[in-house]
Amino acid sequence: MEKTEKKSGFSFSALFSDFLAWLKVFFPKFGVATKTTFKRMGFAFYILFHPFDGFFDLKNDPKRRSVSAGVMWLVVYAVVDLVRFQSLGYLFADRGAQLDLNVPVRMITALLPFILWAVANWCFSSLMDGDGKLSDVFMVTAFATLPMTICNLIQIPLSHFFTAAEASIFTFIGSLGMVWAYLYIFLAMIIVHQYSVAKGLGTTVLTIVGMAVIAFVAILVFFLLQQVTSFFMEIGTEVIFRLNE
Amino acid sequence: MKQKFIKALIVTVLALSLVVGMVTTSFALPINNVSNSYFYDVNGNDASAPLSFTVDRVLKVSDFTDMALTAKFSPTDLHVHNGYLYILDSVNRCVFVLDEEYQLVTQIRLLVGDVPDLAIVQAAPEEGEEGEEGGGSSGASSGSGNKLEFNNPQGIFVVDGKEDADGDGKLDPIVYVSDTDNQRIVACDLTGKVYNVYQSIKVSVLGDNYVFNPTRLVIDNTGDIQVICAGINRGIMQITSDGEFRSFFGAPDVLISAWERIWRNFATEEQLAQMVTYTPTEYSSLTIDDRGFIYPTIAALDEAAVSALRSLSVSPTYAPVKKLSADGTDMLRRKGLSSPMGDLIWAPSREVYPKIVDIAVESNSGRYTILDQQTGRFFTYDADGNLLYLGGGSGTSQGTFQLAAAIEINGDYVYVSDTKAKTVTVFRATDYVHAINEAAQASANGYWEASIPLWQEVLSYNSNMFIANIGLGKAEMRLAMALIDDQRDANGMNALDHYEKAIVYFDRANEKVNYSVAYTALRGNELEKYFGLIFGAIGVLVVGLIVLSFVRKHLKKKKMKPVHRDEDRDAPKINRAKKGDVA
Repeated sequence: MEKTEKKSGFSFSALFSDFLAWLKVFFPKFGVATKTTFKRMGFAFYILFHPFDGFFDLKNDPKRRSVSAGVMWLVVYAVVDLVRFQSLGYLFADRGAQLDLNVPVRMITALLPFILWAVANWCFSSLMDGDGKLSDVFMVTAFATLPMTICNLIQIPLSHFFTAAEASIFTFIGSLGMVWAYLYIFLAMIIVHQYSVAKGLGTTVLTIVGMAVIAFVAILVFFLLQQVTSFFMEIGTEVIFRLNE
Repeated sequence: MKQKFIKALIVTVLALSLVVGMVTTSFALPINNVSNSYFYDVNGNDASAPLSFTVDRVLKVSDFTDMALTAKFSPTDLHVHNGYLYILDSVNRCVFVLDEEYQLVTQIRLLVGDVPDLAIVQAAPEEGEEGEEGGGSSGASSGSGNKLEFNNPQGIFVVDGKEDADGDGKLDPIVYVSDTDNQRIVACDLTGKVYNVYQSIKVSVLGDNYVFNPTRLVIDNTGDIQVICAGINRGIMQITSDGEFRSFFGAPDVLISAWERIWRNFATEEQLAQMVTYTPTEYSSLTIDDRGFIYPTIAALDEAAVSALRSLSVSPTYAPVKKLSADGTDMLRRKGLSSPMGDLIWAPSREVYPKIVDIAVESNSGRYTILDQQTGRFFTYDADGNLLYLGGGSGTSQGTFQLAAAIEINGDYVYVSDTKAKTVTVFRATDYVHAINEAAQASANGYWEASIPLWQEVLSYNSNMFIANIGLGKAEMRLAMALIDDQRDANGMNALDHYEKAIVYFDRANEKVNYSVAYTALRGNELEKYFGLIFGAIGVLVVGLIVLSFVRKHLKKKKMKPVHRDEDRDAPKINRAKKGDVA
């Protein structure tokens, strides 16, 4: 008897509906915003074959522009990357790495290059008369990952059907997606900042250097923080030892 | 101002995300203190395994000699021939010959017969020429030169002779001893009667002042001596049975890192003089199989090789074990988790790496055992380079070694000599290892059907033994290949059933190459079955798409026309609207 009472006292569905009600109070436009985000994500498929018009419209047309759609595309990319990693056919999968999977680490390492690129590129473009804002660079970079997402998705069923002899086709599809996406990231950057190709190439080199610098600083900060925390921890243990004496 | 703040914020966020993403890297401990019943599983992790070897007995010098000999004993090399164990003792300067019961048959201490004077070459160049003449230089080499005794012998090899003088139905053996400090190789029989002495070998490429210090040696099928010489890094020296130098072969590659190569271009003469000179490493030991392949080993690894092997490189360039054909090319198969080198997981210290000091080969199945002096362990590999089992260890207890020197295998027995503990340890294989040997041999000789129960027995001992799964998979695949079309074998299985089984075994062993072969056969069958359906579907799809595009074009044209007219006349538009309403 008691057990059933406890169960009826706590139910997930009730909690979820409470959560929805709470969302509605604080974010009255939440549903609408989500709907428009999903609608605007679809523009990435137009960009797939019309990059020049597409990226220009994405930035300048207020009816197309959506940073949240960009975030969603990055999330989709990370999820597809994760699913691909875990569900590839046996011949193409890395068994040992699959067993050692760490979901947050895998997703962060998948996304980190794009986020770093957007940040570093914005840092340099603001020095080099680029027109784009940070949100612009971030958004177009996110939309440009779509080819990679698609090719990764195509690889999953193929990997279950291919033998080692057809491995070259498999890797070709993967590298096709990668080259396509990287090319679009470059194009998007040029279009967003209104650069010439030469200036774009120069900025690309600078951006890559900038990415390395940011990563270095981040690691430095991490280690310094570690030192500081360990310092205070040591003081704490010392104090505890003294008090216990 | 605001932008700066945002930038600082971003850097902090990135740093925090790194904190989240940081994984604590744990260093796997070197397996030094764990018991020796372990093995490496399919992912290269150490996994426990049944005990591989038990110590049958530990031979000390007092076991088979009188105490007139001191307790000194330095078994530098071992050899097994016709069941007899030959122990070369460099301190007592003799060869002990033991029978199957480890009782002393004889010992070779003094040479008899026509022994030429020692031809000890002095290191100084002007004396070299005199020395090579051979005449009376034994007097010059103060004290050490008794031509009837060995002096610090380092290598032994035994072959069948041509006659049977003692009439026991076996040909009398000829014992080849590398008499290292006497700078000669002696061939004699069990009584010490000398057949031949190889000294003053003339090698034109080395000049006059080289010192012939033979160590480990083997005799190939043609009677040529293949010998490693201390201080000579041109590979293995080949000497004909007549005592003529033939050639060097199989010199180890010189390894220089790319960074070193670049650095050397900018270094001055003085700096270059101070740098380490790069020369090929010397071989530490060698052995030969029935087919004449020579297996040399390298004990002294340089930095590039150490880092490559630590990361489990299978490149032949860095391999400490080779299998040389007659022309010196490396034929060793390295299909295992690593190049055959001993433990997969090493101690973190850079100075600690496997020192492979000896090797023994079992010709019938092609498996070979290498001895690592660093850990005192011996590792047995099959002909493909898969680690089968291991034994030994470092320490002072029974079955472990302080300074392992030589190894020899004889069926299920393994002999390992220890020059520091002054022992020769006799290991006997357990049932587990016996089962592996049987199964591996059946597979190597093509008895596929017979190998299946043998491998299954191995799996019943140790389910981590993925080599057994590879063996089973290969056997199933061979059985499948032997069947034609829908033919069924005695168990009522057709080829596809065998492939299905093989694929499961290969999956367990993570053997992708063979998995792919078996899978190709299965997939081909599936494709054949559904060929009509698949291509029918594709055909329908293509035709459908073409029709659809035609229809769409047509509709578009129809639509376009009214739109154009729209601007001029109204009638068609009304017409269209009506149609829409009806629908």
